[in-house]
Amino acid sequence: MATINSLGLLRSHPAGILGGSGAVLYVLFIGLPVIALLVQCTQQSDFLDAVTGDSALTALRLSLLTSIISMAVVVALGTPFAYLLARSDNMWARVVDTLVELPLVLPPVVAGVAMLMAFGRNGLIGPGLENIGITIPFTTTAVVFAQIFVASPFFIRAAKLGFQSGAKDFEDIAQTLGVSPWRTFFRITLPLAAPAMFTGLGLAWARALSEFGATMMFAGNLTGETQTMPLAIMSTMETSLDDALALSVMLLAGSFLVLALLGMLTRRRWHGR
Amino acid sequence: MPYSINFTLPIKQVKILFILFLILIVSCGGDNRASLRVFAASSLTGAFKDVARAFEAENSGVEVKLDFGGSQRLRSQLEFGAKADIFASADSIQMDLLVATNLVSGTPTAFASNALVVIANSNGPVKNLSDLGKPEVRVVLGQESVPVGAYSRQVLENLSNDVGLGLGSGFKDDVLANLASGEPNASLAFQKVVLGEVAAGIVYETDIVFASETGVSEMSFIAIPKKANVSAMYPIALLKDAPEPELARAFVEFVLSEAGQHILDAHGFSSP
Repeated sequence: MATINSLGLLRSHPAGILGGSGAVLYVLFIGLPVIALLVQCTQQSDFLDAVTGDSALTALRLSLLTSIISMAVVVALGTPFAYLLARSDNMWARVVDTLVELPLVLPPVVAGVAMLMAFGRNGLIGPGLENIGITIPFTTTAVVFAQIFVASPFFIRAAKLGFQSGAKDFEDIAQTLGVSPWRTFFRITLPLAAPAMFTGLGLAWARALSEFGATMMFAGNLTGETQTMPLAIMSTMETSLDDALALSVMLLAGSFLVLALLGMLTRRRWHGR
Repeated sequence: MPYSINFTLPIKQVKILFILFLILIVSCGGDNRASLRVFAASSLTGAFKDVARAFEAENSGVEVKLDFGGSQRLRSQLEFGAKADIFASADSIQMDLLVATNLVSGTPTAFASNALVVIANSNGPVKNLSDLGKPEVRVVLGQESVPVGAYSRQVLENLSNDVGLGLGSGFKDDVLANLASGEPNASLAFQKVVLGEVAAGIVYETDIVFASETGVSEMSFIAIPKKANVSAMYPIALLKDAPEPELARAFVEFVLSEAGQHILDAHGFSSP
């Protein structure tokens, strides 16, 4: 397959000039705020104090813990669900499909309000849950709920596309060769979908780490229980810009690390051995 | 060939990641200290952090968890089922609303009082009160629903109605026309001015102490005449569903004690 010579395209094709200037503008637009954050942050001396402060570490620990639990739930429940969606083609599947993508277009604050209306003290099933001793709103569980709500579509969508992209033929071959359905799923379907799933997981994770609106509404802002990194940054912003900058850089680095790690996992598989 | 059947899951890497997560989760195990949850108005941020530290020092094995925010946000979260032991509001309106929903145990006690002041960028266009109403001056206030916003509007009303001050009856409307943003709590209003995004704002007097403590420079404070200013009373109350009622009572007592009042005083609050 011929590769596209992007430099040649830039010079010869009329769209190349437009595309080139578009690329420069875009990189500046996204890059400038990130660079500004780093520059402002390096100009202060107490960066280390701020990121190793008690409240920062507490928030970081909570963010990691909750996002890991959310991702475990999303992968455990989302994988079979995505497989089902990928293999069914009827009206109901399409309705469910749309529902899955709803959190993508729903403002997170609305998601938070909606969850309060469902699980809150005056919500639909909140009072019933409270009667049997389960309280969800404004607890660490609520943080996990909020993250699952907003982040799951990223994983389920990607996994569904992964399952759809051609694995069906190999599945059929394996089945005709007498391989059991379970074995087929784990030895053929899952490995083929893995790169797409990892990409989805990376995006979902980053989204869960950055979750703010729904968490604020549904889980509150209590240190050590519901105050995740984004909420801690917002609260710190109210008292010290420098500390808020330091925490922002820390979260930026964390999100970048998650993306890079998962990117490495996927790419290795495709280009490795 | 686009696919290869011997594509396997990167088991080794997954295992390493998994073990890392396990270590993380284990290391996240909580401590067994009794914890007291305090919901406090954002203008109490500096003061209550110190109060909490002093309270923890007096009661070993106790951890005070603080949630600072606009009193109206805290109040509505309590109504929606947030579990806390203590609510310290920046005005009686929010406290009374909570009392009306039957969530408060006993009667609230006033523990501090505050007043308002204008904060302005020293290099900006606002040098005195009347400058706030001049065209093209960007001003920030609290939202009408938060205590600092309600107080600010009351002060503007008082200033407009006071003929002796000569600001004119349209002063309040002029200032509101300059409103660049209505902030959800007092600290955010203060911070918008410090960031230089707006020329001036109306904040609490306690922010003067806060500004000098945090080394904020190039800010000037313009006093609001006493007769037009408000006296912002801060009530504190125990909550009915408090998980730690005994500790909560001790904390309120501590806030009202000489030691507690001394800390509040150091942060610029007056006694109620």
